[in-house]
Amino acid sequence: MQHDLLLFLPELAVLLGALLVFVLSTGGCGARATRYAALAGALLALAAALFSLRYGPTGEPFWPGIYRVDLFSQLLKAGLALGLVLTLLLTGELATVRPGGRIDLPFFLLLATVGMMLLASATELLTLYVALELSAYSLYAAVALHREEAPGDESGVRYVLMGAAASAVTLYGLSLVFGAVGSTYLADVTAALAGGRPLILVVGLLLLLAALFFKLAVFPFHFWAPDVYQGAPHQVVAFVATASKLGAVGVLARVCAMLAASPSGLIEIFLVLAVVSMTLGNLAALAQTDLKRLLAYSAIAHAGYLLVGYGAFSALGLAAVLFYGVVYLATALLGFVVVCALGRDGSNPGLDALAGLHQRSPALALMLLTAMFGLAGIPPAGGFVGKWFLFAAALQRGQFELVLIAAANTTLALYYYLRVVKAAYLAPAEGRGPVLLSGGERVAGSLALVLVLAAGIYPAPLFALAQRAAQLLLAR
Amino acid sequence: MSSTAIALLLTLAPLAAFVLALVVFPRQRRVASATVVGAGALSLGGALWLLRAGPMDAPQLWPWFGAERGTMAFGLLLDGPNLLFGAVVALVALAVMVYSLGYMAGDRGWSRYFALLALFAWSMLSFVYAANLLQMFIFWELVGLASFLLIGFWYEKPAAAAAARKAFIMTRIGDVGLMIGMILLFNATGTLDVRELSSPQLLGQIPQARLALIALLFFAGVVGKSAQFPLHTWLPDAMEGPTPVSALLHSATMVAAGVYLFARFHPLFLAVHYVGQIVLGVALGTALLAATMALVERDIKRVLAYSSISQLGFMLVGLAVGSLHAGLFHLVTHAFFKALLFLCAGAYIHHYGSNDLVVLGRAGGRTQRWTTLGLIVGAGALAGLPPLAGFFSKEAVLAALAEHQPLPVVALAYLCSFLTAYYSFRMVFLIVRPNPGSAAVAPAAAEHDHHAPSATHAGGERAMLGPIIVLTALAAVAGLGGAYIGRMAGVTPEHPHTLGMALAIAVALAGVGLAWLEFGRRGAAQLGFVARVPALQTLFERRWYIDAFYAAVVGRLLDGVSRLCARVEARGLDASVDGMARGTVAGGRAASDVQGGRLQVYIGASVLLLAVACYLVGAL
Amino acid sequence: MNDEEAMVMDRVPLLSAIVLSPLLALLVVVALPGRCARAIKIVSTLSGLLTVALALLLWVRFDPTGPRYQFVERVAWIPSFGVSYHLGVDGIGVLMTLLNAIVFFTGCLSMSTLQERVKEYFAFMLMLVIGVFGVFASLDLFFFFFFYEVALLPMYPLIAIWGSTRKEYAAMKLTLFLLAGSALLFPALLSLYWTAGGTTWSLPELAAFAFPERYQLVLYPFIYVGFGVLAGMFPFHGWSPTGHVAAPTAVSMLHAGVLMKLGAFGILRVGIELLPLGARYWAGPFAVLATVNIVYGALVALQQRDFKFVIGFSSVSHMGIVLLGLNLLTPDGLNGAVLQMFAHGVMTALFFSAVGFIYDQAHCRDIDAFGGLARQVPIASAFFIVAGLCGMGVPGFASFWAELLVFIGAVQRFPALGVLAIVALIVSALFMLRVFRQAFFGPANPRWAALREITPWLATPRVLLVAVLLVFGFFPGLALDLIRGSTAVLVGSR
Repeated sequence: MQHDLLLFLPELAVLLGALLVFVLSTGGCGARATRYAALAGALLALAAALFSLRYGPTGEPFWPGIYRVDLFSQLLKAGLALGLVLTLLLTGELATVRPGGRIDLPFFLLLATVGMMLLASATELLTLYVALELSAYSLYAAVALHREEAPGDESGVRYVLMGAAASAVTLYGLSLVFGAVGSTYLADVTAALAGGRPLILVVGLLLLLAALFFKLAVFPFHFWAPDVYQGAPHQVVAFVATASKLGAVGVLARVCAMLAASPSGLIEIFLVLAVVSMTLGNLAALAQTDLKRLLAYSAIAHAGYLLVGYGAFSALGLAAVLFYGVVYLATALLGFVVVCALGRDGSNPGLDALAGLHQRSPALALMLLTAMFGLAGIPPAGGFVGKWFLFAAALQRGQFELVLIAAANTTLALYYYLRVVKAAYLAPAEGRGPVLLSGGERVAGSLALVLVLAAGIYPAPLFALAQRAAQLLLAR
Repeated sequence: MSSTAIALLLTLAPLAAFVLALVVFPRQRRVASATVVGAGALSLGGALWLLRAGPMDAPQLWPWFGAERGTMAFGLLLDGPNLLFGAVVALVALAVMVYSLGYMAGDRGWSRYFALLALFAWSMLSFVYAANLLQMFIFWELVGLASFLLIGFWYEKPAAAAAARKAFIMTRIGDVGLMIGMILLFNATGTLDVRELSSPQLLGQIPQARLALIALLFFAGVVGKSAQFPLHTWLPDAMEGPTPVSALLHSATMVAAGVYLFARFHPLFLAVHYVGQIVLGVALGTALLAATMALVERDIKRVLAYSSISQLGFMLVGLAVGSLHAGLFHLVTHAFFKALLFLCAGAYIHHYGSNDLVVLGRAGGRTQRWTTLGLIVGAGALAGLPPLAGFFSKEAVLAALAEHQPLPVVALAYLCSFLTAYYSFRMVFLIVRPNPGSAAVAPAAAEHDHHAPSATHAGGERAMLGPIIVLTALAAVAGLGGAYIGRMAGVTPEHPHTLGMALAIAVALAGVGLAWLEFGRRGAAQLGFVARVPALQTLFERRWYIDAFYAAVVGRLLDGVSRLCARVEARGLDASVDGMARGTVAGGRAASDVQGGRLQVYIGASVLLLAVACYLVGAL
Repeated sequence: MNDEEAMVMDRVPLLSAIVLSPLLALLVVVALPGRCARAIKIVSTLSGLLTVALALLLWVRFDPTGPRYQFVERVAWIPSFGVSYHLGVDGIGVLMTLLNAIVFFTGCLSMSTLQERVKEYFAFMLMLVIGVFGVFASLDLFFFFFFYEVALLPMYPLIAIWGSTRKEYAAMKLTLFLLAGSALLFPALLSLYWTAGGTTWSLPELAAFAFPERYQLVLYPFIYVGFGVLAGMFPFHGWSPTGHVAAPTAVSMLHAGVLMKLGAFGILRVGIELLPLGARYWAGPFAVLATVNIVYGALVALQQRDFKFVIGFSSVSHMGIVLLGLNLLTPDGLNGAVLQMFAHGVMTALFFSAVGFIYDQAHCRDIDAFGGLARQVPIASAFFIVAGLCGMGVPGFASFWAELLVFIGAVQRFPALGVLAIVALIVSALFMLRVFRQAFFGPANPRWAALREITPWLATPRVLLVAVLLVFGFFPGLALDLIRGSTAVLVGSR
């Protein structure tokens, strides 16, 4: 039992952190204390997850078939913990969170992380659903913590309503799957798929996919993203855009791995969704002047790129997706460091707010530059290698045209990324004062920066992990 | 010292002088000029030594450049024509360098001027001694470059800058032809060795049509460099350069390079019959055309320039009818007497500060005794008066022509000879027998306003006198060297025709006589016969409207095409790219506007699409 | 040097040293505070000098008769994906490395008067240089593309920040054009990998694989056009004049001088070498386009009034010669193309540094507004005139041989195109002489009386470039012997 709990250590650390935060906040301690408690839990979780990556304990701490700890799940958990740590580092000044909610924010973030960590390991439909909802509801709450009631509420409501719709669809899908297979274990579902493809099962899985697409903001389930990105507190968006996204990437990888045996029909759907998502996201991003909104559309486009990898339904594709998910987490976070630092007065920074950034804070400008290069897929940032892997997976299937479209999209996207760079490096400061980074922002930014560059220059270790994880998924 | 080493030394000495004068001693003017003149003397010594030693085999020195079809070696060719022409070049070059010490005294660009003279000497000598067509071509181009820089020496004068550009372009047109011809020849034979290319066997392997094409392309190069019709227009303008430069480059040596090339590749040009006919036609036509222009010109340098064009045509006539001897002979004598004439012209210009014949005459040109002697000897040689040099060489050309061509063609050549005698003595009489009563005309522009007369002037004029005297002597006696030149060229000279000789003398005397009647005798109206026909006068003065034609038609056509391209670039390509970008951004705006809709629509749309997806998967 | 020493020398990874020494300089520059402008310039310039020295060493130690790729280094980089850090050069690579080092060094020297945002400038420039060195030395397709992209992006800030004349528009246009080219390359390169079995990205190993003929025919245009955009191929050249006009001096130098060669180099290394049948099939149409480059570029240059536009379009024309040479697929053509890449690189660097000097003082580039500069600033003018002469194909400069080789090959293979290309020399002379006459000759314009002559320090890089042009102009064998073996393999390969 002790051994089993060791397997559960990352989740446990976050969970305990969450409990501690809860106790502290009810006990009247300040936001500072809860933040540190949360950070401690997150760091512990990160350490535990990394440790498990290194030494690879595998097994099933609970009921066999329900919850599995292996390289795949631990890689995701490490990423999630990393995202959590980085986000928590940014929560020093919660200008956009209403004062009463500041103390609660870490709690919701921790809880959402727990949910996603469970999601990463869940191998049973109900567990999966519960974990999904746990993370979702925590985020609904966090999104609604915005200082200004009206816009915050609006985006919160949108998120909740659309999330509820997605949730309903998922539940319906799961029931269909259960009806078709007669079991809630994913292993049985895989076995059933291997035996043939009953329509009801495929439709059920498709509905499940829809829920994940929602989290990933894939067309046509992307509508929430721009509004939520714009309307939610900076730090919450940072979390939604990074850790939460990685969680969705992981689960989607698991589902796609199940479907990989007979993906016909799905490939076409993935292709179409990929093309539409990236094109729509990139096109709409061209017109944005609000940095957060721009990042939202960029996220939609990136969901499209990810689908290119998923659509390959191959080991390389899944590995590429996992790799890209982690790199994207760090890259997007860099962007949000800038958002948090510039939006300290509670406003959403527009492109004009970036003016003269290279003078006001060279470090921040460099982070922004790296983030934009990373998102655009320009070496030496990790985005380049990530795209290389993703597109390589698609070409392994011979999808030349798809890759051509995707590559053309990256050119299109470059336009708005360069607009951001231009704003930061070309426009004169015009009296805007220097930007001082908080310690947390500095640490988070530097960490993410190093990670992005390291992944771009020497991707082998991370990619090897992702490949092993993908093989594990497919072997099952 | 082996002759190879001497040949190398004599070509490289001016190069060294060029670098020294331009880079090391630009401020030490005396050192710069002394270096260049010293190098010139060294070259002349070497060239004469080689000439005395006679033709010999020189080895290929090093492989310079390799292409697929073959390797081109850097080498020296020391056979008769080379040695002969090399000596002439070195001699005139040194004469002009010494002369320039006086002529250019006080000029701001002194060091640059001498450096450029050295650059010219180096490229010209290297061209002459080259063993390889490519090597020749390279130095041929470098000679052109030196010419460009020297014509534009007074680059602050817009006319000089324009003339330099014109000269470069016109010769470039010919050079492009030569380059294509050279490439075709190389592709056909795999060699560019001058001696190998002279072998009839090798040329015989090339199909006739191809061979003719190559020869005509080569001829294009000759036409450009030797200022033949239709590319002749640059040479009169080139007179914007300093007069010594005109003497050296634009009469005696560089422009003769085209003729020399023709002589060098004589077998190639004469391999196909009709090529020779075309060349003859062009050359004779040019000779006449240029002579008519010289009839009415008042700028002394331009008269000489037209006569250069005309005489170069004459040389080509000789070569085109197959007489290597006549062509080369006239080339050598012409180099002497034309350089002499230019140096004399320079002396007048230097002294009186005007280019205008009438002005020079009225200012007392004849009081310059040695210069006037030189002018008369030079003009006599040009006119073909015995026993001066030009008489013998021109006679050789005429004799060769008479032997091979029908009467009308020969008659045209005699007509040309008559005109030559006429305009050269028109020039002489205008200077030595000025008519103060003739209508005063606004003087032509003077080139020589670059310095005021000063104390150094007299010393300078002494430096100018030496070369004039030497060349006067050469112009007087070089005609006796016909047999020697024939021996050097390896051909037996044609026997002079008594009848032809008498006719030539008669024609020349007729020309001189007419000039005396109209300009020389006491009380002459100093009005040429052409001036009595105003239409003709205008036609000749406007140079047969050829320049105007180029400017109006060729220039405008080119301008139009390039304007069109620029429009395509700006309005077509650039605009379409910009339009595409604008369209994309507009598309982006439209895409982001979709987002403004209501929540119900979002959800409905999502569910609908999901249903479609389910249907699709089910169907598949 | 005895054998033992030679072995020790071989253990020094020379290519890595060349690629990574600017990286070291970059780190130092980033670490230095922005106010130490002088130190930053010195570090960058020294790094340039070091790469020149290393490139010369590379050149000297390269054995043209030895194995094709020399100084090979190979370290597995992403083992599970077949990517390795695989460097090595053939003769072409050596020549191009030398070119980049020269232009980099002289570019640093030319920018020694920069005042504004020095640190960022040199940081971006070093990044660009690393990318270029990397491409020339990479034998792994992944790293080839990696470095290729590394080299492209710094152009944006470099032009947009330090440029002039619609700089933001030009920077954006240039970047988007080039990245659009990359978009064609992305699927094409990945496809090469999978088609060859999906085990290796190594270029020599990929070259050993016989790609099916139909595949080659389909894929080759992607590679050619993808790289060709960077080489300024018609009709995708529009970015190049605009970009060159807007870019600051050293960036124009590097960009027109070296970066455009990456495109041609890519066509050579990836297109012609891996897809010889495709190259042969498409040679005709692309040769026609290349000739359009030559003629059209020269004709458009004739109408330009801005110094840099003239040079920009003359670059389009000269790069056409490179492209024409490549499409001949004969030893002469390829030798000429490679030599022209080198010659044009040095020549354009000289052009831009000469114009840059005048512009820095006069803040004017309108040719018609000048006059008599040769009197005002004779030495500075001489640099431009020398570059112009080289651009006109006057013998004695390196480009003459390059053009000659291409012409020889072209007249053999595509006679009409070859003749057209040669005739375009007249137009080249026309537009160049027009500039001479308008700006440098003629009466001195009193407006520019205040122009000061170039200082010896600033003249140094220009003199160096002139010297390189002349050395290779009189001894073309230096370069030809180096590349002949490498191009022969390319043409002989299947």
